[in-house]
Amino acid sequence: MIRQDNVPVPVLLSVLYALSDAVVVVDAGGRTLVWNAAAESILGPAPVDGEPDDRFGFYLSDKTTPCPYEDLPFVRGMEGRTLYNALYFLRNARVPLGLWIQASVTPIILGDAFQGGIVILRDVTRQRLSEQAAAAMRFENQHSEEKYRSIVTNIPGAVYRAEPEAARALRFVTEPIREIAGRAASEFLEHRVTLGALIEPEDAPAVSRAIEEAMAARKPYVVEYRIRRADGAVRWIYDKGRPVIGENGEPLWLDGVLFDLTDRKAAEAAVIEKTRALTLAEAEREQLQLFAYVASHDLREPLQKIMCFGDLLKMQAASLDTKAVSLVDRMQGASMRMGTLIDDILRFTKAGAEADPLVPVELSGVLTEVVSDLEVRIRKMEAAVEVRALPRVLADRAQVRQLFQNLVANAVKFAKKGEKPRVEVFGDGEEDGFAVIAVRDHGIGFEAKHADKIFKPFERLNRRDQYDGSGLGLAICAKIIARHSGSIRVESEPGAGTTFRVLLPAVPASA
Amino acid sequence: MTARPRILIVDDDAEISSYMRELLESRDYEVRVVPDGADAIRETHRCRIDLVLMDIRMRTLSGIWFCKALKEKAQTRNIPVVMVSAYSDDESRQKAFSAGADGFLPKPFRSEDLLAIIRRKLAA
Repeated sequence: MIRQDNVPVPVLLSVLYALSDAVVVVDAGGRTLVWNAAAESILGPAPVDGEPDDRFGFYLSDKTTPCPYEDLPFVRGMEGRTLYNALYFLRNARVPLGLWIQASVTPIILGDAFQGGIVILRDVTRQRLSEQAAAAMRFENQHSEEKYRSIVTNIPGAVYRAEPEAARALRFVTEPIREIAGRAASEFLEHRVTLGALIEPEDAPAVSRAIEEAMAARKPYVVEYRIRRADGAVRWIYDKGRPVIGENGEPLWLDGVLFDLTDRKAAEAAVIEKTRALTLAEAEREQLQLFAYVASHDLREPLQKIMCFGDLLKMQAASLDTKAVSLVDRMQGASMRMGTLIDDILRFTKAGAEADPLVPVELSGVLTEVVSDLEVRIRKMEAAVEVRALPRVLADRAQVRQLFQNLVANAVKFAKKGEKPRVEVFGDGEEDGFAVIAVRDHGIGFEAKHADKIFKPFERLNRRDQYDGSGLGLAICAKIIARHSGSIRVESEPGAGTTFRVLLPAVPASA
Repeated sequence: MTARPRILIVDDDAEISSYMRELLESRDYEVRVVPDGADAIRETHRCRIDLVLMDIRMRTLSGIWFCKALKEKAQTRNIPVVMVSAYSDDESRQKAFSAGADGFLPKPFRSEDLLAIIRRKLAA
C-alpha cells in the first residue's frame, strides 16, 4: 500500500510535469507556484513575477468574445472561486489555430486558511471537433430526410413501397395516389385494396409477369397499364420500380413510383388520329381531284359532240328556218356554258391545294397578266380597268392570279345595264402583317345581308340569264384566300357598286 | 391559183373528224383524216401538209408524243400544230405548248373558234 503523504516533493513535481493537462497553481497574491510543461506548451512560459496580467488568449465559447478578466481561470484560482469543466477557446502565438479548453479551478485550503488555487486546463479540441462533426451529421441527416420528404411529396406521382408479390399490397405510398387512383393512401396502407387489384383485367397478366420477372432477375421494371379509379374513370399509369434484395438474395419489398400518363396517352392518341385523318383527307382530296379531272374530260367530249352536230345541222340551213337556227344556237350556247361550269368545278377542287410554297409575288405583274387574259371581255364590254400601286405579297402565284382574275372578271360582269364597267384595283394599306388589296366596281352591287352567301359554291344573287357564270368564282376565291391564311371582306350597296378587300400575307421588310 | 391549204386532222373519234372535215371543206380547205399519230407521221412524209389539227389524247399514241416527233424533224418542224383537247386546265395547256404545239383549243369549242385559230396559224 502506497503511503501518499510521504511522497517526496520532487516526485510530486515530476508527476505534475508529466501530466498532459496544463496544471497551474497560483497563490492568493497571484504568484505562480506551479506551471507545468503542458501549460508552457499551450500558454507559453510562466509569467516571471506578479499576477498574470494578460489573458493568454482566452475567449468565451463563442470563439470571438475575449474572456473577461474576472472569468480567467487564473483569476478565479487566485480568488478561490471554484470552476468545473468550463469551456473556453484559446488562441495565441503558441496555438494560432486555437484550442478548445476545458478549465477547472479548485481552491487550496489548509486548515481554515485560503492558500490559492489549482487551475487545470484540458485540451478538448479533438473531442469537441468530433462532437461538432456528429452534430453536423445529425443536422445533415435531419435536413436530408426533410429534403427527401419534400422531394417525394412534390413529385407529380406516387412513391410507393410494396410487398414483393404481383398483387402488390402497399406498405407505404405518398398522397398523390389519391389523384392517380382516386383512393386515399390509407385505403392502401390498411390493405383494403392492392395496387394489383386496380389494374384493368386486360393489362393485369402482362404487369404481373413483368414484376415477377424483375423480382427473379433482381432488376428494375417499367410497366404501363390502365387502372380503374373508384369513380370508374380509366387512367393510364406509368409504373417504374425495383425489388430491394435482402442478404439471402430474397426480395424484401418493391420500391417504385407511379405517374399518371392519361393526358400524354390522350395527346398521343389525338396526334395519331389527327395524322390518320389528315392522311385520309389528303387521299380523299387527291381522289376527288383525279375524279374531277377525268370527269371534266369525259363531260367535255359529249359537249363537243353537241357543238359538232349543231353546226352540221346549221349547215343544212337551207331546210331550216330562222327559228330552228336560233334553237340550235341556244343549244350550243348551253353546251359552252356547261364547258365553263366544268372548268370552274375543276378549278374549285384544285383551289387551295398547297401546290407551291408561298413566295414573294409582285401583284402589279399578276394584274397585268389578268387584264391581258380578260382582254377580249374587257374590250367587248368597253370596260375601263384601272390598276394602281399594288404591294408584294407572300403567295402562290398561280393561285393569286386565279383569285384576281375571278374578282376582276366579276367586277366587269356585274356592271349596270347600259353602262361601261369601271373597275379599280389598288393597294389599300396593311393590317397586322397582311397587305390589303381592293377591287372596286361601280356596278349593280347587292344588299349587305348577302355578303356571306356569295362565297358559297353555286350561290348566285342574280338570274342566270342576266349574268352568266358557274356560281363558283367567289367560292374559288375564298378557298385560295384560306390557303394563304388571309381573308376577304366585301362592301356593297345596290346600285352603287361593290368593293372586295383581299388580305394576303405581306412580304416582311427584310425579304 | 394557189393550192388550197391542206389540213391534216388526227383524231380517233370518227364523229368529230367527219364533222371537222365537213366544216373545213365547206370553207375551201383540203382535208386529210388519220386516226392516230403513227399514220399522221407517215402522212406528213408522203405529202405536203399545211397544218395539223390533233386531239391531245388518242387511244394509240399520245398527241404530245406525236407533236414532239413532228417538231424534232427538220422536214416537218415548220408545220403548225393545233392541239384540240377536252383537258382544258392550265397544266394540259402547258404540256401542249412545251411539246411544241402552236395553238391550243379546249373542247367544247364553237366552229368560229376553230376556223379563227386555223386562219391565224396559217397566216403566221
